[in-house]
Amino acid sequence: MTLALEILSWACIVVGGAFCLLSGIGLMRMPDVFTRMHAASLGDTLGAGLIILGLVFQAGLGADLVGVKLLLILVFLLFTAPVATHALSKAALLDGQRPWTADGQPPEATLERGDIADDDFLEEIRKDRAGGGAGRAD
Amino acid sequence: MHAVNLFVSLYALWLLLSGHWSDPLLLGLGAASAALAVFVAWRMEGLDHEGVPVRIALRTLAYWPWLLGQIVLSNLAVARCVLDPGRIRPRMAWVPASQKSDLGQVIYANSITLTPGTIAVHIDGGRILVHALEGASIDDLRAGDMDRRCTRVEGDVGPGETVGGT
Repeated sequence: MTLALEILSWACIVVGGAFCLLSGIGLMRMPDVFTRMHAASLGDTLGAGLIILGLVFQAGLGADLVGVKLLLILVFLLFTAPVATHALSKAALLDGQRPWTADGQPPEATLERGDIADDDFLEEIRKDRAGGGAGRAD
Repeated sequence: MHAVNLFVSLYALWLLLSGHWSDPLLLGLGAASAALAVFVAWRMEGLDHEGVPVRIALRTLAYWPWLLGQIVLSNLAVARCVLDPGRIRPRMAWVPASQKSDLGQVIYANSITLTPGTIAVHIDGGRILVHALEGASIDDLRAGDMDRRCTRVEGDVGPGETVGGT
């Protein structure tokens, strides 16, 4: 029983580590900021998830509640990671990054005016960019 | 009512994290800190159906296993793309979102972002701007399986909970 648990635990940790490694490789190989973010989310989800699951097998759900805490870490990670990813991708798009496409054509949808309904926040940012945004390098 | 629910769940979380079950002083201090957190939430006007989403909690728990399965599947797809970057066909397109409340749309958009290979960039009325690593992911989202499940999690939407409401 203990041996089976050890094997299961280490299998989870090793596979999780492999996904983190793939995530890092993807971060290097992908062509632009958006595709790189897709690669980064590998480590966020299955990478972190499998490592924490392996650690839960190590710790057990015993009286010291370490397993519960590990699972809580995973839950909060899964809640917060998409928020950061979303904020990063939107910031990149608003800053004028054009998504890379395989055939070099522009993407079929963007955040340009006319493509979306009026949005005060986006309007504010456009005004900021048009005005040269005091203190900006470009 | 929201305050009571928030207090109970915060205190349960405190018990889980601390592991103290017997010492009355520590239990009392835990209750005091949970009460303080509820007070701060009330001051921040966060005590509403969004800050304390008890109504959808059970349906959310039923939704998570399916979402975890999707995450594993799309992880494998993205891992294959990393090993063979020639496969990727990035697309950016609008995907319909049928949820009626802000909370439901956030659940859907977060689910999209959480599954590797798709990122929700912007919400505009009843649609979400999605960037996908493989073009097929957009078609999968447009087929609407995840959309329907998120709408089911959201359940009946009361007055004042619709998009743009407070």
